[in-house]
Amino acid sequence: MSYRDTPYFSVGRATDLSGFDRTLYRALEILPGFLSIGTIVMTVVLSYYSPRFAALFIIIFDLYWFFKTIYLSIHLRYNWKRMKYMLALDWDPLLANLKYDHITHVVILPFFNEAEELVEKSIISLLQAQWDAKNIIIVLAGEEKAGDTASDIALKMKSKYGSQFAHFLCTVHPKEVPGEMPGKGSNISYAAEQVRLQVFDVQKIAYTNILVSAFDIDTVVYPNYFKCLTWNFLTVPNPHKTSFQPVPIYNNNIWEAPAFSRVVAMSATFWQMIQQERPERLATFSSHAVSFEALYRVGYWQKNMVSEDSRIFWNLFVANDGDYSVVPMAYPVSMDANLAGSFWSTMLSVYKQQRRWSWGVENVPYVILACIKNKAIPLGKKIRAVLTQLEGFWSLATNPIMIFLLGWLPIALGGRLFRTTILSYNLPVITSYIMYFSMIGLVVSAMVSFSFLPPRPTSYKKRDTLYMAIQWVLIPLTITVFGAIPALEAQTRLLLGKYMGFWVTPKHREPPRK
Amino acid sequence: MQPLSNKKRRWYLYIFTVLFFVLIPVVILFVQGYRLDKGFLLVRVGGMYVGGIDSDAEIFLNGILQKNVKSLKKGFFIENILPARYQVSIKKEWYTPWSKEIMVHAEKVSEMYPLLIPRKLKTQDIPAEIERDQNFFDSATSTTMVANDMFTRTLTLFKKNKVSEPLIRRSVVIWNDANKIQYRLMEESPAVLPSLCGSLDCTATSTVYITDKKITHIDFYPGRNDVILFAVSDGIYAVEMDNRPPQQVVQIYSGKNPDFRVENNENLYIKEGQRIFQVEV
Repeated sequence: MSYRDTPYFSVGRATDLSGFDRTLYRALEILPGFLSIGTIVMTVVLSYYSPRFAALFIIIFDLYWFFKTIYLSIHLRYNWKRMKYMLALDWDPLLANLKYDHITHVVILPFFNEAEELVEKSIISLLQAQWDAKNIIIVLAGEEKAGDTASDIALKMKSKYGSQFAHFLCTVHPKEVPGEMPGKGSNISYAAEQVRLQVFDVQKIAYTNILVSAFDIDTVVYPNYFKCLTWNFLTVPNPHKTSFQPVPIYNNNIWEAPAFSRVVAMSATFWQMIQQERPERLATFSSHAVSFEALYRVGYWQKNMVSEDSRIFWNLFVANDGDYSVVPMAYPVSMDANLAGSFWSTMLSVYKQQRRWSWGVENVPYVILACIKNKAIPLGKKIRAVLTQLEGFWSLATNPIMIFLLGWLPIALGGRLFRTTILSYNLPVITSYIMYFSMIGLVVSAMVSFSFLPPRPTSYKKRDTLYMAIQWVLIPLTITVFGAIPALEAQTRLLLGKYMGFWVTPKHREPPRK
Repeated sequence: MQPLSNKKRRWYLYIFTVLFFVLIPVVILFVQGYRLDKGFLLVRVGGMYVGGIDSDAEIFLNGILQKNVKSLKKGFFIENILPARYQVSIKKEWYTPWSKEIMVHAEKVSEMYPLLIPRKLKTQDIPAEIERDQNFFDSATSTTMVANDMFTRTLTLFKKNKVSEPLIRRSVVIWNDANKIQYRLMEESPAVLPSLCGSLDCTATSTVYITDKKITHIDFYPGRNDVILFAVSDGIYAVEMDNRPPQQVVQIYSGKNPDFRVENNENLYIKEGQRIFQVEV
């Protein structure tokens, strides 16, 4: 029996299993939170009972973080060069030697109650792309729960732009389907099945020739997206065992978003850029592309969990016994930075979005269980997958807290005798030196972010450009408040079995400045 | 353009991993006070922390001006000092010099909080009466002397004097026991300066100062819990509780049977006869 036919394949949470499997899965759900909270608690306890050991641990940790930062910065800088190269590349000569007329692109745009102009902007970008729109099928995937206004927008878009594409399908995902969690995963899965039944099967399009781009409603493609994607699809050794990952750049509304939202958004972009140069660690994230053949074989995106974007990679990874990978396209797609109606609602929105992304930790028990149950996955891949997942979520939740908050702890809790040691005096000094060196990294970040910045709108002043550089001093705050803390919350929720549902990020657009 | 090659990535990883593991013992030894001497032998050093002084003050170690001092925690940190006994002197223009013999131990930081007192204290008289304008008519004004509220209020401070009653400030208790000033620490709190607690048992009673003159009043020096002010017949003195030699005892005011009060750990008032004045410390 193939792994995808087992109950483990589509498990969303421990309660989907029974008996020992359920207990095992529950223990695996506890594991990430246990490691992260355990690390922080251990540091606090050690600071009190053995401040010398705690101080040495923190200093070694600082050192580790320092080298890790440099190592990752090298990857970031390289991907920056590669992305600029890819953006400037003339793709036609590369495609000229390939046969690609048989490829059909499907773009799924799930939406809930977003504004019409936002939906329209994404569709227009697809029309403006350097690709024959008559070869692109659009699926505007709405939700019944969103009501008539959303349906009206979908129909309006179809009547306005439908004729310019190969096909323009508007789907309405029914509400309250048993066994489904409302959210993007269930919506786009429904949309994928509808387009299969209503278009592919009717027009007899071979599934192996269909490339699906699963976008967010705010995803705006750059001109050569389809060329880059097609070239990658046709040149990888095994296109149906490969997903394709563009780099999400949160540029659509970057000038309107407040500084902390911009820093959080760009940090997410940087992380994706770093991962692009570490493909063995790359899982699909947010907007991604995959062959329909591969999707159809696993029953599309999982419908009973939140992080469908990364889970689809793990579904495909375990279904193919580890013989599945992600190709980093090093080509961007543009999305919205978080922006709500007011400063505080934007803060809250950023926090909730980061918590939802951190909820990707729900993949940890899934991956470990699959590595236990699926004997066909090679051991090396199992070890790498598990360690990558555990280390990633542990780092996210603990590193900023360890670096920015716990450095002083042995001094505060360590008592009189420790406070008069050379070690206690050196602890803040070493920590601050690492901060100074990290400032160099911030300069690199500022440079990279500038190169992708859309032109300053005329309604913005020169000083707004200056703020774009200065904003990077917020990094210690943003990676703690909008990185570690939401990650800890997500892991604690999983640890306690308080499962999260899907939260739709509000897509607000500021009216132009006068 | 291909992704960063695995070969390059592996090289970076190896280099940083090797650097990390090489640096771990180096950093661990360094932060704990291990240094290489001129003969490339590993030696253990200590440090000194001079707290509560600003950058105008000069620090001398065995008479040599220290230039390589680090500004840290509202004071100065001097690193890389070999374990030994040192004569530490602090000099600041317009202030009384301060010195102390300090023992530096390996891997430890000897802390000190010098008592620097202006050579000439700035004082401001608080008159018993002040002038006040009075309008009799729209066009004519005259002045009259009225009681000064501040004088009256300050005078009430001097009416309370329980010289033998213990005073507490930030976990430090002081009292006058028949012209013997004593102190005890209530607990090991961060507010207690390490210079007050050299022994393992920090809560034992210690004597700060003994005099054959009659102590008429004691209190903490404004803003500090390690310096005591006391009044005797010939003046007012400040004495350090840090009993490492030489213990600093500085006369801050000379007069006949003067009295003083410290208000809100901030304001120092001196009264001699019927005259009261505020002192800037």
